[in-house]
Amino acid sequence: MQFLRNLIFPGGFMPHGYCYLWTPNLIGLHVVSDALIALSYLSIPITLVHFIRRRRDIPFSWMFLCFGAFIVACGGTHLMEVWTIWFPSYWLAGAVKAVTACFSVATAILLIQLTPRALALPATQWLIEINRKLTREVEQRAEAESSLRRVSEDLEERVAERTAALVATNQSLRESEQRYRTLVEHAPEAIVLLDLDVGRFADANQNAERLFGMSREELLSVGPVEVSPPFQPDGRPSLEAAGEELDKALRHVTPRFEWTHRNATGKEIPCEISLVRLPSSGRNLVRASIVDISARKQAVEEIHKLNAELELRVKKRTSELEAANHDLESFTYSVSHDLRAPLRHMDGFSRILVEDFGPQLPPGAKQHVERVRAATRHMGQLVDDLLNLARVGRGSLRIAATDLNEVLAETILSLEAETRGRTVDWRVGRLSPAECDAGLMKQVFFNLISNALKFTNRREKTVIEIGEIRYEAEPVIFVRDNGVGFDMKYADKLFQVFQRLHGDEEFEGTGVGLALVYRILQKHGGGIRAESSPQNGATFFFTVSHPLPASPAPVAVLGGAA
Amino acid sequence: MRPEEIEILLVDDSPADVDLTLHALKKNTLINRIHVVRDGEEALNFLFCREPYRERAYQPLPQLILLDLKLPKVDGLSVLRAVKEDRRTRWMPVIVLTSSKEERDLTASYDLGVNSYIQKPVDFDQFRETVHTLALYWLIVNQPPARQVMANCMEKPG
Repeated sequence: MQFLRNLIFPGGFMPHGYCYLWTPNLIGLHVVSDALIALSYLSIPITLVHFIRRRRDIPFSWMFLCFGAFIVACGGTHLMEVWTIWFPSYWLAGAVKAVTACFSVATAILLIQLTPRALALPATQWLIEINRKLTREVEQRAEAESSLRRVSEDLEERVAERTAALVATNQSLRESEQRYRTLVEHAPEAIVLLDLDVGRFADANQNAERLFGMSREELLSVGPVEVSPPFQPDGRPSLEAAGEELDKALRHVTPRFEWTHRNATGKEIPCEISLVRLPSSGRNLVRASIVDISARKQAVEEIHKLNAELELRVKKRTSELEAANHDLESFTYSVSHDLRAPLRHMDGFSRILVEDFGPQLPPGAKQHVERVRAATRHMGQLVDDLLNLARVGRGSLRIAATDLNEVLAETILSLEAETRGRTVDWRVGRLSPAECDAGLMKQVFFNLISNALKFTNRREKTVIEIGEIRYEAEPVIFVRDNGVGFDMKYADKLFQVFQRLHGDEEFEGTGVGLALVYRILQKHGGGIRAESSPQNGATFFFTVSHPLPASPAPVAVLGGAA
Repeated sequence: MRPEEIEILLVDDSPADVDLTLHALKKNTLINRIHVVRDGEEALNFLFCREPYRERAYQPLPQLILLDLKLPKVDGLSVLRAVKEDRRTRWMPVIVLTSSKEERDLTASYDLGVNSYIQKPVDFDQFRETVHTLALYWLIVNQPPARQVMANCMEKPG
């Protein structure tokens, strides 16, 4: 302790201030300067230590510690300078200087040794520069990378989208393909795909296998030539005919034609084929749709055969009918020519007999001759009526717009002879025009009116009404008399041939007249009906060209018209 | 008018009809110069003065032909056609006097140019009346052209 005390407060020396003569300013200058230097020197190692601790990567860090120690020592010397101004511890100061000297020398030596190695180290600035560049580069890289990442993400997204679309397309393509395959596979006709470049089938459906009696594999090893006979039914070589049709198909015409195929067993099959060229890049593909028309052909043949038979039968029947018609015509012709002639002769010679030999004839003979003549005339009338009836039956109508009023007037005029000496009250109304055969219609009026005249010939005053009423908007013509009439229970016999409701003794007639009327009206599409009761006259209602209404026309209406 | 001149040519194959027609004609008119032939061929021979009527070439043609349609050999329509197609006989009135009034006979007769078509009635009185009327009309009322003899126009048939 004494040593330390002697060291710090030695005796015998003067404080350094004396050297400065205690000049305050000088002392101040030294003190402040040394103090600041010391503070600085002390602070530097702190900073250095801090630096080294923070930057452990810095090489030669021990060098910094050396510096630190050296600087601290230097700081110590300066502190000692301040101390010695007032306390003359020059030993201590010298010791501190000596320590400082040691550190300095050591540091200097170390520094000299270190320098070549330190020089080898890159300069910091450069490093910084490099670092900055690097950083920039890194940043750029990062940026590039991120933009790359973005692009790649984008790309990936698009790839995914594209892939999904492709998958979907593929799927729908597959489905579509499947659909078409099913369509083809289960089509009702046989379908083959022909590759024209190799002349062989490229595909075939089940029906094609069935039609040709070959498996798919077998079919795909052959072409149309192998499944056709050498010649078609029309005599053309199959090869040539097929070539022509295929040419059309290649020109995008879609030919449809009949073709005879030959299946695996050699059987020939009549078919109908339609060709169409299929879209294909580089290949000439033609689809052939083949329908077996054996059944159709057979049916057509049968129809032809049946038709021919039918035609034959129709011809035969027609010729039979024609013959029958011809016979009938010859019959009526000769009836009209030959049947009347003997009647004429009978009547003529009876008349001549009475005229020439009347005086010589015994009493009563004249009456007999008169009977012969009456019978003859009746027979003549019958022949005429029957011929008329036959004529209406076989002849065709000459239909024309006809004024029935005119026809009626002519008829009444032609009956003048029959009304001579009688009082007839004609009550004739207006008739609508009609589409009819005027000649036949005159016959209708003639027969009906002469009937009316016949059955009224015992009346003092004959009333004959002819007119028209409307029934359901259609004209119905009536002919009414005040004659003897008939019992309605016989009405159905009225219009039948040879049916008479009165004896010849009462009223002569042939029984053909009303049948003829009925036939004529029926042929026109009209009808006739009668209403009567004994002794109360008769009314005939008829229509010309439309059916007669079923219900009887009310007599009240008729009464009004009459 | 010379007595030998034939006024009417009656063409009918039925003797009964011929008798009745002649009876009707003669009884009621003054006409009795009637020549009767029994078939169409004979009628044509008579009219065109062929055998056995060659000598008739210098006698006037009849004033009227009464023609039945149903005739042996050549039928009435053929006779009618021959008469109406030949320039020399075309003028002659031809009356078809027949049993029937069949439509086809009527049509054919009028097509060939018949002058009248009469259906013989069954009633003899009516027949007589009809014949009388038509003979009266064609031979007396009607004015025929100047009569020619066939010989004068022999060279120009057709």
